[in-house]
Amino acid sequence: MTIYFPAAFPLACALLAAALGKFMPRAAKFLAFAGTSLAFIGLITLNNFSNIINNAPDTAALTIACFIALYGILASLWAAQEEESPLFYFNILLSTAFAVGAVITDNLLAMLFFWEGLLITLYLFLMPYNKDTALKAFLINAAGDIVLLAGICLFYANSHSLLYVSLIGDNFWAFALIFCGAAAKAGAFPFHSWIAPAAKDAPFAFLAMMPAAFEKLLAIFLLGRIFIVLFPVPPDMARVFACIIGAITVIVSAARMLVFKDLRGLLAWAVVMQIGLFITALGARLITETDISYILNHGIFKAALLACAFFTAGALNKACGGNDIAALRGAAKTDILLFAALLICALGLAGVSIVDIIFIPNAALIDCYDAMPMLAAVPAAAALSALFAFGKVLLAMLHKTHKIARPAGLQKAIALAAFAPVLFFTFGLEFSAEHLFLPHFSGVHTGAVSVICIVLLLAGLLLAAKVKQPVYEFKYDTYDRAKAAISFCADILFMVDRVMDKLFDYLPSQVVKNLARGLSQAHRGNTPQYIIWAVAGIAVFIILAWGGLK
Amino acid sequence: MLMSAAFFIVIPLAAAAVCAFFNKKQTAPAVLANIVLACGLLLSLTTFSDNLGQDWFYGQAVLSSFMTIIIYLVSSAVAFFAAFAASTKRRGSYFAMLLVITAGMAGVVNAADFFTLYVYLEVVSVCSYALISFYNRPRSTEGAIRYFYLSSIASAILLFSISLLMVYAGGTSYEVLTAKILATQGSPAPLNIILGIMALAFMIKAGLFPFHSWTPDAYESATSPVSALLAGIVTKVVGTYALMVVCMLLSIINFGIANNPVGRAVMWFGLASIIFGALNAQEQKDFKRMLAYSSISQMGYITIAAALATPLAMAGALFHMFNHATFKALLFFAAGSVKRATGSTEIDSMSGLQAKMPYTAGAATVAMLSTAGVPPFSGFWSKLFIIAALWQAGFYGMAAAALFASVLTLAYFLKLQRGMFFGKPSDNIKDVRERGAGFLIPCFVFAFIIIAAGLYFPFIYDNFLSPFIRVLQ
Amino acid sequence: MNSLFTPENLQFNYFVALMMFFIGVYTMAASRNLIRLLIGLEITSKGCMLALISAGGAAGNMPTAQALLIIMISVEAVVVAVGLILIIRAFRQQGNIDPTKLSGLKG
Repeated sequence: MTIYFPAAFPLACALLAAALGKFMPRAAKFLAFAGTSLAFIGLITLNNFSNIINNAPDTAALTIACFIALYGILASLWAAQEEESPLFYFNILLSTAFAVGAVITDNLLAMLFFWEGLLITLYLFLMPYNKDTALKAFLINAAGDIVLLAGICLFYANSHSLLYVSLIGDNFWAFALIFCGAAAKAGAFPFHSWIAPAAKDAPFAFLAMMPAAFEKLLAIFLLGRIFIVLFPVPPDMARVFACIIGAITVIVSAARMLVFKDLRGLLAWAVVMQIGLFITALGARLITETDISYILNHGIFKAALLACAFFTAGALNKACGGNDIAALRGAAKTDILLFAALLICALGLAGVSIVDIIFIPNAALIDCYDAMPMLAAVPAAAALSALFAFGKVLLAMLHKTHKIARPAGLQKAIALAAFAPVLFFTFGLEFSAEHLFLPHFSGVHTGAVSVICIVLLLAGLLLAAKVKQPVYEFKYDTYDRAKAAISFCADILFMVDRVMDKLFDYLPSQVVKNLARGLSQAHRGNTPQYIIWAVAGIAVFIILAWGGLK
Repeated sequence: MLMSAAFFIVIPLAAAAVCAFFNKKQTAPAVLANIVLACGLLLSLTTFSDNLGQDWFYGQAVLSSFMTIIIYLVSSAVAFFAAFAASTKRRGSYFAMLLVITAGMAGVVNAADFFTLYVYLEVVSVCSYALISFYNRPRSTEGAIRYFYLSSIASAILLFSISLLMVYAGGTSYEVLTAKILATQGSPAPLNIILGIMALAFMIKAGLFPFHSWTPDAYESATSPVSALLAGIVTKVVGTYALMVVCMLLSIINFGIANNPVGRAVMWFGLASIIFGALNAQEQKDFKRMLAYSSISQMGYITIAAALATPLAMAGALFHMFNHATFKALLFFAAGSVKRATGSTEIDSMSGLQAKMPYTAGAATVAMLSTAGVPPFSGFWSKLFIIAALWQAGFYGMAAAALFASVLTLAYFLKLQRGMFFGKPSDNIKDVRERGAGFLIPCFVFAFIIIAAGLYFPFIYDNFLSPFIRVLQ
Repeated sequence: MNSLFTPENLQFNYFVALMMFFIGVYTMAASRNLIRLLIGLEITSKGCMLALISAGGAAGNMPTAQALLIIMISVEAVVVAVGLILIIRAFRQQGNIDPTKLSGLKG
């Protein structure tokens, strides 16, 4: 139980915030910051004492947990400028607690418990802004969690244990279900349709924290667990499966990114696209070789980028009074730092190699190409649409319009702080399995530049083409489809119920009624008839008894 | 046992003689009858445990003592009710008849000889014919005539079997019979035949299908106190108590139900009564007629359990006799109150009676739920025993049918409830109100007994039923 | 008279008694007249009494049987009295003594 203490701090602070929040809103803010910081410190302590604590999480898990705590801190600081309701801070603390708990536990069951706890916080986050979206997010995530639960149950049935230390599994369906469950949290197809509506209403702090950082990090953590611990020898179909899901996700999100309306939507679809790319690259890499220890770094980097992008967008929102293209016009002139940050995030999300570390996504490109030449189209499409979309935004920001900006203040600083890991990664910071925070420089891949140039060329061509309308019409929302299917099923069940009602209610009561009427007719008040009945009864009795007595 | 049995028989007879002299007085006969019957009830309750252990055959003493308690309970309740409800000028004769019938019933259950049983049975029957037709109405005469003829056939059959018994066993007392049973362990056939014929007689008296035809007419045409008496205790004593005695003897002869064809035949008749009674009660328009058919159904339950003759079944039959006495009597009292308050007992002619007569409605509801076997009332326990005993003995079909009939019971009672007591108050009950404490007190007493027996069933089980079961095993 | 109620005649006696019983029951079932109904009942009753006394003769327990028979006769007298009262009542209330017309209670 001692390993849970980094998660216990934010939990305790959450309860305090819930209790005190009504009277002292500032207390909630302070508690949020304190709770997440304590989580962070606790994790580092746990790392230092990992050799004397039983079942301590390994460094990979600790790293991910540290980043979760870090983004929790940043989100709480950010939100302190904007949000006033104590519920928000309570949610931040609770999410941090659950997410950290999910990562550092040693037990699949406890992990599942914490994982599912995030459903509640997700709902509580979105509820004050839009109840429908909150419900949609909750249901979609719940569906993903059910898939995960099913996978874990199947896994348990096969291997009869829930502790990480002793799990070997080779059942394809268990793998597939857990994989889908993990990816579902991050927003893979078909669990992606809640992110875009949520991005419309929710505050940026939430967006930077939940879809961007936490869920990505959790998904990466679980995917890592799947491939390194649970299924060291992945089933044969695993790779194809991963590639297919990743490819579909990328294509869907790329299509929607091309027709974005504002920065929120753009970034929301970027979130979906990243997990798609991640999964595709994972599957592709598995086809060629089985060493996937890089996914930790890839994942943290992408999570960092997305969080940073959201923070930047938030700062821009505050500075320019809106985040659609019209509002962002000429923002570059007034706020060069934010523009630079957004530029670098865009380049990173698109996969330009100056700011990415060794592996992604040009490595993804190469991997995909090695695996199956056609698969390389997926990361290419991703890069394409990202460049196109972000390009539009950035070009708008460079517009020469004079605009009066409102100061963004501390939020700018936080955005830049979030940016720091990005920069670190840029210069080749890398985590390895043995030590935490051991930087070394990996150099820059120049071989990918050529690929990027081709991609940019195609982007220019696409800018001129008219592909907007059919892409905009492509809307595949699993949630709406599921709602229609459920109402159809309900109609059919109602028809079945009518039949059953006729069978079990109407028919028997009619039969009984008619029988009773008939019997009633038999009693007409005729005494001799009654005597004859009695005699007949005597005869029947004698026959019945005699038949046995013989 | 003879001493106290004499008290139970002689004292009501003497009181009846006294009552008959005060024919035109309104209160004296009623008071005397009530006092005597209440004392009798107390006496029977207190001497219950004294009588145990003096069996002629297994379980007979407990049965007799318990039946005496039930007889006096129902009779005293009916006497109390009749003190308020009987609207006749000849009160002395009425209460005298009541006392004589009570004495006769006490004689039936305490008889140690079949012929004695026959004599007291005739006493009871004659008094019941007189009581049914007390109020010189055409319908009462018709009901009494029907009861008279069918019941007399039953008495004749009983006499026949007594004569056969005399031939075979040399006498007609239980002693002689048990001696003969022990002597002829190996060849039960003649005794089976004799007891079968006797069972036939008692089935007619109990009102089982297809000998039931007098039951609805007699109950419907008699006034409510008399109906309560008839349905509550008379058919039970002369019908099912005697049937239980016969079945106990049969089971002793045959070492259990498996090789007892007579018992099985009786079970079929019991089952047919259950289903027939429940079905026929569905479409009844008159409250009392519906209660009569319901009685047929409940008699069927008692019969099927008695004929099964396992200890559990016998305990169930005994307890169901007690329960049926309480709830049927209560229902007939409620019918009497309704008749007195509104002038009719047609179900369709009124609705929403509960608003005007809440106490009666409440007590009637308790009784109906107990009949249907709804926990936690006492009817649930007895039905449970019966169905469980059937299931245990391997008669799955019969158990299922009995359970299904429970559903039917609930169905017609709910229809009655909705039609008559609950629902929107109809216009013709505007002036209706409760008829006074005299009508309600017996209802409350029985309702209390039903609820208490249901809730404190372990108490009843320990004190009354388990001695019975123990003795039977 | 003793020779009629001996153990050897038991079967014959019982046969006669049974015949009387069923004749009585048939009379009760097929009569259009309440008095005939009552007489049918009487025939049934007498059949049973015959059975009883022949049982007593066959069991050799004549005194007991005679005692029981006397009790039976007196009981039966009461029953007949009640039956006659009911017939008188029925006649006074409906004007005839046809049992099939006694059909007020239906259902």
